[in-house]
Amino acid sequence: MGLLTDLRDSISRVVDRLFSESEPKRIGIYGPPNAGKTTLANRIARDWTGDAIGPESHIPHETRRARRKENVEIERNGKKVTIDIVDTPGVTTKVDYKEFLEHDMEKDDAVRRSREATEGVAEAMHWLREDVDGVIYVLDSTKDPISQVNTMLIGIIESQDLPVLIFANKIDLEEANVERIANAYPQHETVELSALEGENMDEVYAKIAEYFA
Amino acid sequence: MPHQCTTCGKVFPDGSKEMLSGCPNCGGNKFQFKPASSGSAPASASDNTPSAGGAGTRDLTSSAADAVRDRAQQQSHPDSTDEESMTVSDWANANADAPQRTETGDAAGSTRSEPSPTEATGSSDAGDAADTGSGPEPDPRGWGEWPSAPGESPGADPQEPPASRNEPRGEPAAGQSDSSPRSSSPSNRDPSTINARETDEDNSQKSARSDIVTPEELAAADANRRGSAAETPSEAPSDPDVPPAPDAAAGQPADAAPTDADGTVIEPSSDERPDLDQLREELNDQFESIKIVNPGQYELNLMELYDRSEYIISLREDGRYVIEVPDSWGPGNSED
Repeated sequence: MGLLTDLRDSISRVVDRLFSESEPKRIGIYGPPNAGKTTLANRIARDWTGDAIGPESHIPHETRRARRKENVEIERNGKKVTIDIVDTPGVTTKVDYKEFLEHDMEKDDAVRRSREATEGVAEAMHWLREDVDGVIYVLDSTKDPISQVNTMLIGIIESQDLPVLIFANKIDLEEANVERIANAYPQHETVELSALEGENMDEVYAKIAEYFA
Repeated sequence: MPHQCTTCGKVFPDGSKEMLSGCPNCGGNKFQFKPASSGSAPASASDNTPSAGGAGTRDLTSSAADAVRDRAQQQSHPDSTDEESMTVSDWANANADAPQRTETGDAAGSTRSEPSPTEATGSSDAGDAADTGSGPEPDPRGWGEWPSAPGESPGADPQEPPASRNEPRGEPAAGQSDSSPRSSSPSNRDPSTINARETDEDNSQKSARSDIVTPEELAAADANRRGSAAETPSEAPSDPDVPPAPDAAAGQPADAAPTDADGTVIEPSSDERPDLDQLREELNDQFESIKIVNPGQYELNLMELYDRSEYIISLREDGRYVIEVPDSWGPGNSED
């Protein structure tokens, strides 16, 4: 019996590996601008591959093209998942170059950034429609989580039956209110973290391995 | 004749979806846009022309122009009572109302100061979003204050044609068939509501009609196009979407010279450059996933963006744009 069990285990391991290696799940990191999506993507990518994905900035819409990191293997609690991380531009219903002027940007640059950001939102929505197998939805836990963008996006994600984890980011900040996020979207699991400080990343990885495996 | 492939010059009618998958001639995906109503008269003229028996191209032009106009009229309702706070949903109205105004910094400022759609959370759950997904406005507020709006697709409202509903003056201008909806609809309404609407409607209606050609031009265009006495303007009122034009046209100089009744004008003339606001409005009406409010200021309809496999990218303020189609863009092109 022991032999059979070993054999079965071994076969299932091989099958698991074959499956995960042939088709890594593509996990889109979504959320409004400045929620910390790229910071999180970089944190995950650095932790598991050593490389970063893209530049981070406190100026909104720093990420204006979707960026992908492939074959990120995450292992926690005996569960392993290989994912492609897609860091998407922040989704919003309005882009205004004047917002960027407050960050000491020249008008021409601000207008260009605004246009690129708009295109970035379109690209992010396109990815959501076509190319993701699961979603990590990142929210700034210092901000009100109930917004048109958030409810709409999460609604779309739900309608697609995509697995989704809600990450309440920026818990290192004093004003952070994770409960507010958990209450806003009780149908989904909320994980608190600080991508910037690396707080609670153990749970983050455990949840990723569990949800997207 | 608003769309033209910048590579091979192929022209597409207003509202055409044909080029959304690239130019069928040359495969190009760069197009330029010339609005139907601002640059040349034919589109306006075709408003007053029953579409039965018309050429397919012209019908498309006509229906798209109707859609633009109707939408502008619809959108003039919801927030029209507070003229001071120009809202996003007023945007189209503002364009119709005072095209020169929206280019100013004031307009931009007031646009910014309005309540953001993200604050209108009470009514904006995902279900609402899905319901209005095909609508032109992501802002639920705009729909909310105009209850019949969600059911109305722009330009296609057989029961209450905006033109007849909003026409306070009873011009006898040969409006035989048009008179019945006009006289009957107010009886169903709260008089104060209708008054408020009519007052606002005077302005937007007037300006909407400022694009309409004079009777002479209309007749000329019509004769030129149809060569048939059966298509004379006297039949125009049988189209419920058409406001009786003569008095408005008489009061407004035709600033858009109807140089070509065929509607084959393509190159934007530098002298009579299409008004940018109108251009944006028409462009956005057809591709409403991204709306250019002002250069550098955009509104995005997330549901539209999500629902479409193609989308406009590289919108230019001069009316040029590039449509990205699935073949030319994909995950493989993104940076790693």
